[in-house]
Amino acid sequence: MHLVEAAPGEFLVSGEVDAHSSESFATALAAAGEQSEAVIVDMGGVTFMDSSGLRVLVEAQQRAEAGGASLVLRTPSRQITRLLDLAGLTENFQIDAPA
Amino acid sequence: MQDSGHPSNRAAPGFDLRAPADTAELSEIRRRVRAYVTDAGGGDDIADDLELVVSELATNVIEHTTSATLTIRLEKTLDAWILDVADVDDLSILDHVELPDRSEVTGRGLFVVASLVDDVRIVDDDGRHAVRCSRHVARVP
Repeated sequence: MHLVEAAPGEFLVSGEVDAHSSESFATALAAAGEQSEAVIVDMGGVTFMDSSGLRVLVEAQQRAEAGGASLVLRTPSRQITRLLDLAGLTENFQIDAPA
Repeated sequence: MQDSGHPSNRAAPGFDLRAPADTAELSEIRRRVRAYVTDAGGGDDIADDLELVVSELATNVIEHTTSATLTIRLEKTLDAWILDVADVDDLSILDHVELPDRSEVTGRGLFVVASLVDDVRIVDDDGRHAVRCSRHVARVP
């Protein structure tokens, strides 16, 4: 898993997010929302994610919300969209997907 | 729930994988599962789903049992994909598979697994306990 902050509050994530990489994912997102009204997590480069990644995203969403910001998931793959749906979390996030 | 025995009506030779119970192994385990599904004639939908199922169950063994080794068995029978993940030492693991509240941070993995397969149970394989998931070949994703 790789994560870079492309712009203030905008993160590009790539690779696989699972129990092995989720701590790195969480650490990288830890400061998200502190200086932005919206936290954008671009998931377009994520090739796999399981519930370990959901935990990180829920934590980040709650942290952003507590700071008055929102969390946007941009271009999640079909696998991630399906995972969010199965886990009942689709409504937790603002999802920015291509039309 | 416990059961015993192996499926015998194989449609494709199965594969067995033993690996250290370490999260660093998860990526390779998923890769092997996808390769088997593809070789056995499964499409991307079933490959995606079984990758997710094995990742959740293997993570559960790594994080919540004392087992030093992961054992994965996957085979396609005439009517189902059968996935075993061992060793499981908490036989109550499947007793309460429920979707937590949206505000909860953890606890969704087994619910997701149960949503993707048609049956999930604990099986006893010569004294070793595994979580066995079965998914009908004809199931619509």
